[in-house]
Amino acid sequence: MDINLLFKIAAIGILVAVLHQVLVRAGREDQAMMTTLAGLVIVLTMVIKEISTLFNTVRTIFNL
Amino acid sequence: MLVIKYISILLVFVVTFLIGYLLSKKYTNRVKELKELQIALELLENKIKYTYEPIKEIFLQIKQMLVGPISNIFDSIVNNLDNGNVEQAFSKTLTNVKTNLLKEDIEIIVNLSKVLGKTETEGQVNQIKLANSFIKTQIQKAEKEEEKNSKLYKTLGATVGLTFVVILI
Repeated sequence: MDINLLFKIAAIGILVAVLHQVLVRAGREDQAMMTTLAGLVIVLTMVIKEISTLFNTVRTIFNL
Repeated sequence: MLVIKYISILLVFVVTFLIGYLLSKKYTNRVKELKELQIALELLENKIKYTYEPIKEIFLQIKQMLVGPISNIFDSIVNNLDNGNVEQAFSKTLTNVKTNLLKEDIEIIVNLSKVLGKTETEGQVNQIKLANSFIKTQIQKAEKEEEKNSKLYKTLGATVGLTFVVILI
């Protein structure tokens, strides 16, 4: 696994948090919610490969 | 290859930042233009009240006293006055000249142009006063919107740009 992935996810997390704060401050709660969801989806697409590797590893360890 | 990648990423950031900046500028400029318009109407009111010059001369003088898009509006009105009446000149100008004014702001001026030159001095002055009070409320509204949105769009542009950069790196 590439350690850079962790940093990337952390950076996206920080930026999405800032975006959320800015939008809530401007009274746009729905858009703030949308950006948070978008950030979640982006991060999920980035880690989905790692998750599938994890499942495969677990399956091979226990011979399932 | 790596250099091209970084340059294009930087370009993405610059573009999103500029989009945010331009969107925020729109709100600031609208307030500026409305204030300029208010000054123009006050000038027009005084000229109509105290001098008996034709409207073309008055507009030329107002145009020279102002700066920016509002000055362009009066310039264009003077040019359009030659072919058609005042109302046509106004509506033709306000659809052609590019400003940051909204439709509701322009509507006030068009409505004013419908009575210019149709009534006596007193009536025209009253109509201009009325238009000026409408513009005053529009300025208050525009200032509220500017306060709310101008900073938001600036921050939004920068943060969205940074997010793209992080995702693309």
